[in-house]
Amino acid sequence: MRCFKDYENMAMLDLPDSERVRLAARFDEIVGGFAALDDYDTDGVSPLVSVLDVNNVLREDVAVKLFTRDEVLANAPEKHDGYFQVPATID
Amino acid sequence: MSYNAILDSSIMQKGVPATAGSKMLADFISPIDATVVTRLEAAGVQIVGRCDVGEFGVDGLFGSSVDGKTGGQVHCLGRTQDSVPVPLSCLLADSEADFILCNDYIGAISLAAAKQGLYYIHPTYGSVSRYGLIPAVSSMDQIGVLCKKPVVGFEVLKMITGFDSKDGVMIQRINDKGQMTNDKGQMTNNKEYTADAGTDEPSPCLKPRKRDSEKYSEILPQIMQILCCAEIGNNISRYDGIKFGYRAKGYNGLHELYTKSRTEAFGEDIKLAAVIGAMVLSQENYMRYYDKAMRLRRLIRDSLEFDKYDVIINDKGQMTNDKGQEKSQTEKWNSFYNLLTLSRLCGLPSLATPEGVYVANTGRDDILEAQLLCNMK
Repeated sequence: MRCFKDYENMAMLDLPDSERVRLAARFDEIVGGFAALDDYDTDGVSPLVSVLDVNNVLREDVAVKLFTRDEVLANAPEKHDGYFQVPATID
Repeated sequence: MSYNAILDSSIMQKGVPATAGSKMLADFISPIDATVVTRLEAAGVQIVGRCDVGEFGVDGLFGSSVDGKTGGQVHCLGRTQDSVPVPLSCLLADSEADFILCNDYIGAISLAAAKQGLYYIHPTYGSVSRYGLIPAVSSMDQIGVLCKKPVVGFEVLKMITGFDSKDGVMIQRINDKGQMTNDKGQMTNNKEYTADAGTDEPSPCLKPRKRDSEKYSEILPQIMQILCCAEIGNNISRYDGIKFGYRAKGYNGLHELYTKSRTEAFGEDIKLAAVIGAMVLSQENYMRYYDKAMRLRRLIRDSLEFDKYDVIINDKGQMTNDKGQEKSQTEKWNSFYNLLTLSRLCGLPSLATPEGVYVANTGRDDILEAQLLCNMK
């Protein structure tokens, strides 16, 4: 049985203890309310994924250059020699 | 006549910060113009400021804004201003702007607008391009118009409505005037609909009616929370401190870079939405919560009975409960809010006014005209 901390990890968060306690209490209250859905019979009903009865719109498969390298890197928090800079991923 | 506009900070304007109200995007500069920006500028509208209406627009999802106190933080271009939340009405009144464009996917901004004497026009899902809008809840995201005068709002709506191939999910049969057309691009029906919400003696077609969809009203908040949290969790998974957005300092390895950046940058409601999203999409809970909510969404949409009427009108001042007793003020606003939520869940256009809320059908080809003809006080 998974707990709040497990879902927190899945959401790529690592909350300070005080915040975890606070959010876990709100989480329990909100998720407790979801049980109300159990009272509604949905057998044989298909899920409504999109309210529009349309397929995705695809553009023509033609290569276009939307941004230059500098534009792509413009919002990077750290960059180096024209690349995104990240910590070492291999020891 | 030319208008002045304020944009929600989740709408991109090239070269201008687009923060979506989040520390995560505090230093993010828009690389593109959103389609709505291009269309406004082509129509001669001047963009005079930016405003924040909650981090990724999440205000109200967990009930905190049903009191209608939702404000906004305005950052006018060319000058700095303290980022103090102010009511939307003050935000409009104190600026040169005639309207605000924002993404009210929950309905909290509409509710706040109505409480503050303003109008919010929520367009049909898929009728206004979302290209350049920072996504939050993709199946409900829609750029709408907050305005002091509805005539201005509808004029702006015409400017921004229309098919855009850059948005992958749009109604394709909308011409550049915002009108539904048939497959040959012709207008299909010009029949006019009228609705009179302001007379002392309601016309027979406006008599109160118990809708089938009301049997779901008690679980609308839960359905919204499940669907919104799942989609918010997915959409904010792109913020990892690598390509753009906030990056924490002092991390040990890639995983800690991800988690520390996200933990430090997101506000509590967004973190809560992400955790609930992870829970409802997890293998053990998917069918019970997420799949169930999507099935209920279909039942709710199908229960609207738009074969029997064209527009749902909720007059907040005259609502009574099942026993015929007048509802309390809180009950009236909750009912008002539920109808706004309903329009988001079902992709329907709605108009929130200080007097009531209107939700119009989109199942008919001429309904985009019909929503324009709702008679308002």
